[in-house]
Amino acid sequence: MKQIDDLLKKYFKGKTTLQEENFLKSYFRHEKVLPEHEIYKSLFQVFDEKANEKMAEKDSEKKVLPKVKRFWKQTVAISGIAAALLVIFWLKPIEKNEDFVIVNGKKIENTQFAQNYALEKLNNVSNTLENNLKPLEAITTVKSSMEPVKKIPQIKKRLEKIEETITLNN
Amino acid sequence: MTILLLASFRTGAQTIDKFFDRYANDERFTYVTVGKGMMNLASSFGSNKEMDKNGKEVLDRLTGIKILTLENSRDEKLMNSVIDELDKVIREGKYETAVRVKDKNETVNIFFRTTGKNQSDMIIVSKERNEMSIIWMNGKMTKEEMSDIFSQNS
Repeated sequence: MKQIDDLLKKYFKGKTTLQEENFLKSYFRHEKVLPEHEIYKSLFQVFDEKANEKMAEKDSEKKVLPKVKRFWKQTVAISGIAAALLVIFWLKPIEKNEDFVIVNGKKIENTQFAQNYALEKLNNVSNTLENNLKPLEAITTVKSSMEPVKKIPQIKKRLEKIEETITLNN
Repeated sequence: MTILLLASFRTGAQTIDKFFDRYANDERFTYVTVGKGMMNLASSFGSNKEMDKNGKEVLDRLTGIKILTLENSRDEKLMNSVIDELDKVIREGKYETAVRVKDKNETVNIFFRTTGKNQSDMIIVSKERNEMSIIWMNGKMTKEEMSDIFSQNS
């Protein structure tokens, strides 16, 4: 017991070695602690508890770290997949029946009806253009009628050559 | 971030799409959409009834036609607000005016734009006293080719 008393004195002076401190800790961990040493028991138990808490914290950190990493990995993976899908749909929208009509808010999926309706509207526009752009036809007619006029310079050149030939012959 | 950028880019490119989507389910309007397969229309389109081979090819290159019609409407206010909205779409979409025809009570305006790689959009706004039609055609063709759709029939 004297050994314990000496070690305690040394401990409170801060002169104990690690080995001696461990010896003290293991002594106070046991239930058979002498009554005169009981007052120190709680102190060494606190040290033990703190040490255990630190160990537990380290363990939990180790456990949390992979969870956080996994979360980010999953987020990055999901974002990647979402971006890829978006690009796919952006480049190639889902093919669906594109021929339909909505009349009074009611959707009618009838290709023939849709095409006929489109045709009617296109013909209306075509007719309006036809009626109103007729003066342009006249311009085209005049243009084609004027085509022979373009040949006048060529004819003139040929005539000049003929004249030259005649002059030379004479 | 990438998703948001892509999404905003896509929505920004669909102004005319948004316009049509907005009125498609409006009970006051009739909405028609025709996708690929315009060849079915080719044989009966136009006053000549028969299109030449070139015309049919052009029509076949159309990827879609959407038509929004307001029929038997005396609601001038609605017509004008729709026209104003469409004008904004045309301005922001940098469409150029191809044809403007005004005949008594009828007007036909045609707007055109290319969006790269010969991808073109044509918007036709036909307005009469009680009726208004907005036709949006798109396809892989030049302005001249798209104009041919009408010029070959008129």
